[in-house]
Amino acid sequence: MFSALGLSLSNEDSVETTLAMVQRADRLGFDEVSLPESRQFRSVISVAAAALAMTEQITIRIGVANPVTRHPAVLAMEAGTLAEIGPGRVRFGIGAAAWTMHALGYAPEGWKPFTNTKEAVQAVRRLSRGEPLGFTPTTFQASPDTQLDFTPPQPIPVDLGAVSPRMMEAVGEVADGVQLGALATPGYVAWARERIAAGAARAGRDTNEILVASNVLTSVGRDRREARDAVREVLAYYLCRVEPVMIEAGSGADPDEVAAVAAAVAEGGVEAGARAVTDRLIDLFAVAGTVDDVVEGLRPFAEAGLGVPLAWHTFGPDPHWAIETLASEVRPVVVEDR
Amino acid sequence: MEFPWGIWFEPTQPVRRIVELARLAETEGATVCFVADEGIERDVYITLTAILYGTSDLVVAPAITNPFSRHPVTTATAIATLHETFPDRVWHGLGVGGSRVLEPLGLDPKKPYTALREAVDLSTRLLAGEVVGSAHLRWFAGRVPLAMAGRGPRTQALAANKADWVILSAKPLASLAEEVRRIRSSGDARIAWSAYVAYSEEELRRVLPHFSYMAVDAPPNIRAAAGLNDDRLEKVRLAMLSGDLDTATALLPPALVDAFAVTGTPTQCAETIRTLRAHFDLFMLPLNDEATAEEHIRTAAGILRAAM
Repeated sequence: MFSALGLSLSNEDSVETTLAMVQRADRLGFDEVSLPESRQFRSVISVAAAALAMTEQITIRIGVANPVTRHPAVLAMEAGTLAEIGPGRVRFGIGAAAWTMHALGYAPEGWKPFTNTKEAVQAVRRLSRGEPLGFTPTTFQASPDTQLDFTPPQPIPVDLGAVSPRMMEAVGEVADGVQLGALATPGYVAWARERIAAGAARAGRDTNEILVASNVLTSVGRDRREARDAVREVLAYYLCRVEPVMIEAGSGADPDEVAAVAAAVAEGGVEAGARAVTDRLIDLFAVAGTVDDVVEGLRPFAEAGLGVPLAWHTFGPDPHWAIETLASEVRPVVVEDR
Repeated sequence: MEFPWGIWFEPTQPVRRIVELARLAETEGATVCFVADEGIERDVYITLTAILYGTSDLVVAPAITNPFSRHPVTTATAIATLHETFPDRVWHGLGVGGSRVLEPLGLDPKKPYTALREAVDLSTRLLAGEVVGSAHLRWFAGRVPLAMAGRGPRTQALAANKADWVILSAKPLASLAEEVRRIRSSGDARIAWSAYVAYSEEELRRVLPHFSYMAVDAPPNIRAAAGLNDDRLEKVRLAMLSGDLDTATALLPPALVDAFAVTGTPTQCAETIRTLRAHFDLFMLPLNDEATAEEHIRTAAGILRAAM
């Protein structure tokens, strides 16, 4: 069904804890781990470097970094240097990071998030291939002749963290892949694929060469009810925060049900919101239940065109058991042999 | 009298090789490892991470990074992340940055000193666990030693006051004592002195290419003593601006190396360093070239041991 199965971590724990999880994922045979640049938490670049140095097989996905708090050429330096530590095991994602900038209270003068992100993806993609920048950016200073002083061992896939229709089309135009964020649904994946295809057509690119990866809220347990209950709080938290397009674009959710969760959260916090989360919302926004439930829940994502699901956030009521089970019982069924 | 020493890399070589060289230096007695944030080279924090994991006890620092190519909060976050895992092995390193790092990024800061002063304040407070505006590293509160580099008296005075270490490099040996006296009169920071060590004719040739920028910035009396007149200096400057370092190097009088580097036989080099011992607290060894780095580290380590 899929080309790979990964874990999406928060990178909000101590470096030691995150690295232990990455090493475990590597030993268990997961294909990827995604590490985000999460607001003002640990530096994703240093954690990724350590993760690559301490593992053998697994791909480390920067999912995603922002192009605002450092120059895009610095992002390219980071991508290229990571690739030296883990040749062939790096995917580098870039996203507008509006939340991060909001948390930092920082927006450069004249900041244009869409253009800046798109230009940064183009820059990192070219520079990390050892090519000159080749264009005059409008959102940061750099000569078209700018080039890294070293050539990374091989091209590094550069993904775009996209949510909106315009950003999805930019994926089709300039990126090697997309990383979809919290609460993706099969309907949203299908919608995203259409927008990516539109962008790819405009740029004369083959849409099949663009990898679609996404966080998938996942919970596997021995008991179906426990596994489903384990996603209620996180679902309540994010249903109030995600961009409306993720609800509206093909998710199939009843807006009144979502509004009821938001109202409950506003009234009594996430715990109250969790009680308002219906089974229908869990079916739509999560893959939760027994091993069979999770395998069946992932199938519509594959049919919608998802290439790499990144099991995200909950994993299960017993996360340790859940991660082992995802590797030993789910992955062999859902990932095509390479 | 014993003194600590360290090794200073520009990340011009693959990270794995830099780690191997750092490991060798540690075996030879180095206790500190600087990595430059220069040009559009390998990322300094990734290189530092690899060195931390690849060595046993080396203390590492970006030497130096600037307040412009990354937001100072991002830089503080990177330092805090390294320090969280290796609490006794990480220093911060700040300076205004030079044209080699800023120009390729199209950066032309108007008030570099002010930006540096603000970055020092911000990073010191953030790393101590304070809230600074909207910035707060909730997961970190520690005491991270700070090293600062600066060529001008104002930056050096700031460093002497605010930092734990003042890094002095590209300084004529003849002016080291006076410069250190001035810095020590401004604050309590210790001195990390870096000078190339050239202990044979071959090593003199290997270090010469590093001296183009020092020649351009050298005081007139030092240039005159080395035989670098204004006409020749202008040619060096033009060659550098056009990126032709070979031509620039060919125009440099070898005597220039004697002004800025520790030169002579190994015994003479050791004696020179011993003579200057009162003016530094840490000696930082730069590499002369890439290909013979192992041999250079071993030989220079022997010279430094002899100088103690």
